[in-house]
Amino acid sequence: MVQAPAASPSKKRRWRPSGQMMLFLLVLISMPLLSYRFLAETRVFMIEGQSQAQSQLAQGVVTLFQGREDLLKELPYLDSQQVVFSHPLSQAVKVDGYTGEWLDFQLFANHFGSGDGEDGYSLLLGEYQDRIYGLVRIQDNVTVLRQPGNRKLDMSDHLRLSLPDRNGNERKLLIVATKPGRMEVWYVKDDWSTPMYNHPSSTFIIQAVMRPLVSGYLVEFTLPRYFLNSRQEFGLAVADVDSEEGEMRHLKTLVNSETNIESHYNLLAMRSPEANKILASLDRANSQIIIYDKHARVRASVGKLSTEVQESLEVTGPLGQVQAWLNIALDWFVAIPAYLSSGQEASQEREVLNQALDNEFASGRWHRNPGEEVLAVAAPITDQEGALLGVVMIKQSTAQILKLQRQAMENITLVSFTTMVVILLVLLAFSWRQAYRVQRLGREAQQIVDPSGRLRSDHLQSEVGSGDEIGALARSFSDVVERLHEHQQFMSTMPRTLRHEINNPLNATMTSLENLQRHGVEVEQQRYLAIAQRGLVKISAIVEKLADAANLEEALKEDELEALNLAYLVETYVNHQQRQVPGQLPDVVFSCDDQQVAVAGVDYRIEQLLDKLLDNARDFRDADTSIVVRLYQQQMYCYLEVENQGPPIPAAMQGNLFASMVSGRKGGSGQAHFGLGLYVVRMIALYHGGEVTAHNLINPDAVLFRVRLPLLLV
Amino acid sequence: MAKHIVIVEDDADQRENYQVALEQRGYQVTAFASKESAQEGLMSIKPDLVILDIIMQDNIDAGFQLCSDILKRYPHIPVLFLTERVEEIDRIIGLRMGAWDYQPKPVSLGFLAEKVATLLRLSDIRDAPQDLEQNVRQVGALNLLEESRLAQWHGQDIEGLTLTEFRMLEALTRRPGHIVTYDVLAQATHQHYVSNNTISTHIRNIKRKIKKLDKAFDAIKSEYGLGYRWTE
Repeated sequence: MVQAPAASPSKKRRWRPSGQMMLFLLVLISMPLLSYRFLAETRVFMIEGQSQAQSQLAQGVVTLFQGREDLLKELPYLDSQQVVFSHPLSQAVKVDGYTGEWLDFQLFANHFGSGDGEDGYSLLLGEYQDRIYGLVRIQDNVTVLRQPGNRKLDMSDHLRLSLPDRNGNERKLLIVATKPGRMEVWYVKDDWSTPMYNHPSSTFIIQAVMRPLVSGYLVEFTLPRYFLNSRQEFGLAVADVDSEEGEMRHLKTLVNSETNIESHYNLLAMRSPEANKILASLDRANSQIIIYDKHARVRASVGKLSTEVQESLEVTGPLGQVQAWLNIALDWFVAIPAYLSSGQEASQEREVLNQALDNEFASGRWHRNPGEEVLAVAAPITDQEGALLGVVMIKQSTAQILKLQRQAMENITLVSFTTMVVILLVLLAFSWRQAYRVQRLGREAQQIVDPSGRLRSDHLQSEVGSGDEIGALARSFSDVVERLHEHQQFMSTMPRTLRHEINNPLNATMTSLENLQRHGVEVEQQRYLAIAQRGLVKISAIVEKLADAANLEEALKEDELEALNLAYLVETYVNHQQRQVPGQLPDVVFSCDDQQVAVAGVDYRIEQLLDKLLDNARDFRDADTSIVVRLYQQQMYCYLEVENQGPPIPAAMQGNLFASMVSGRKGGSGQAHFGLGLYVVRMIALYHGGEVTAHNLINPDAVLFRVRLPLLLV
Repeated sequence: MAKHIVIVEDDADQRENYQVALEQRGYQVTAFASKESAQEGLMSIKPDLVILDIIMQDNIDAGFQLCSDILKRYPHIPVLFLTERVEEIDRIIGLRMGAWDYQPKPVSLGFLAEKVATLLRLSDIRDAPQDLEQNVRQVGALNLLEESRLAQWHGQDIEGLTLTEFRMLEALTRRPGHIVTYDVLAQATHQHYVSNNTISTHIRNIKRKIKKLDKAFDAIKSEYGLGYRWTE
């Protein structure tokens, strides 16, 4: 029967730690991303809701103004007076002769005069808070400036302003330039030539600036709203004075703004107070409601869009610094939408307005800056018959929503960042602790084995009580150590056990042979008895050697170190070893330059060490070669070398040459060898605080054993 | 009247060999196979000498326990441990319990008989010292009392000298100034196999015991790689 092969464990898909870490980091990173997606969806939802609310509000406002022709269709007194519309300005105009603030209203300019390129001018009026602003472009081939010191004010080009006060008295103001730039404003008498005072009016109250143009000049002025009476009447005339070479200057043309003969005043059409009152209750932050009449003139407005761009967070302390860095990262992360310039924005707004003026409901959205989107809806206001009266436009900024979204983003980013940092720190601490535990386990695992490769303990102490994987690993390893220790114990006690177990039968056999011999054995059988006895003595010797080697470490503890002259000891020993045969090389040659080499040692252990080294050298030396024994001192040590010519130590044996039961001898030598000799050498060297090393030499091939022992310092 | 020797040995073969060898030398021998049977038998016997194995059956200290019992009952009886337990610590324990000697296995029966005879002679000397005629050999400050197997240094008894150590001292001092090789010393122990290391250990013990009497003792010189020499 054929069995299906078992699934190989190696084929199991396992997550490696790096993969697990990547997965964890992905989950960690996805949290703020998901939060961002949630916020983005919330923003869209809120803006849609805001847009719908805005549409409903527009419908509500339309309802309020439905049929209110009195507010929108015509203004009072319009039958007899020319209306000049004052445009609401979004900010104060800087009176400097430049027209940047007026760009949005240029189409609404009122033109006066002939319009043939001479003696005409255009007028734009605007209001912001409690001041009236005006921009006058005058067509004039020759601009004549006032001569300073000339008492007659009408001898140069100038503007005349007629402003009836609340009591019906007329104030006459003459605005004249002595040079381009700041103009003089004079109160004049009825002849428009003689100043009422010796000096012009304070430029603080009424300001005017003149700037020459190619075909004339431009005057920008401002005056307080309280200069107007309750009917908001005013008159403006431009006087063109020509001065030909050598001729007196004289008033050439006077162009008035009024067209009606009955009144030389215009009526300044400003926002309807009534309509403003209606809208006042609808004032909301970041939104603007504007009521246009059918001529697209603003009749009422309330509220304003946020003009603040992005609030910059105050950087205080390290956390603030971190927050600032996070904001930079957030700006990089969140795509900045395309946004419109102010001109483009006005055009967009005009488009929505025009659509509404076509009696259609209109809406539009655009970004006015990176952090602000404008939602605009415009709804037509009609009378009972459905005729267009005006338009209500509601503009609302999403700045608040975007600001809240950004704050939420910042909070999420900060919280996510802090959380990630905390998690990373926790992970780092956890990893460090795990690494420390593994290192500690590794250190103990290394230290549990002594230099001779034997286990010092039968168990591990580190981490075995831990309940996690490292604890399980430590316990497994401790079990292995325990088993190895048991095996080591068995191996170390084995010779003794062997001796115990063998000695009894050996003794029984030997005593039996002895009794047999005593009882009388025939002469022919005596030799067999002797052979049996010799064999038993060999067995006894083997057991004894094994037991001695096994007990060596404990036996060494019984020995006491004493001062020895190693030179004398080795020389005596070598002399007693000589087995020289006449005509042959000496068996052992000793070389030492010193008479005295003092060491702390046990003489018969050093003798035992020499026995083993010379036995080894004799077994492996080439025939007819001498063994060389050297002794020399170097620094704090003496070196005892035993060198024999012969085959090198195989590389495979070099790692465990001095271990117990390791022998390089080939079988059939006739003597029992258990590979204990070099082990005994190493144990004795270690006991004397030294070490033994083996070296292969070349030319000729030889093996050198070097025992290093510390010198005895007297 | 023949001396009465009790042997306690759980191995039947060895027990029989000891018994035969000693009976052939004129001793009365009673052998027991266990601690319990020996305890029972010794209730009715007062032997002149007891030979004890230590490990018997499953009891690894049976010999020690039996020795303690016998010496409580008969404090002056010579006790000889004959055992396979050869560690130094076992030897120390046995001698401290009051045993007269400690002989590791394997043992030569001739050596065992000589040891038994020596111990009995020592026991007789202790009981009636005036009756013994001593043959004393003097080597310098060393006196060797051949009959009692005792040695003296400057007239003082060398305490605790074993029979093996006495025989080694004898061999060493036979020709003072001459080297006595390891082989000769090994023969003096009457053991089947004795390593150089074992001989060196015996010599170390002899030196220690004499140095207890004379710290300056330095008469035994090592002839490294060959043997020892008495130099006094």
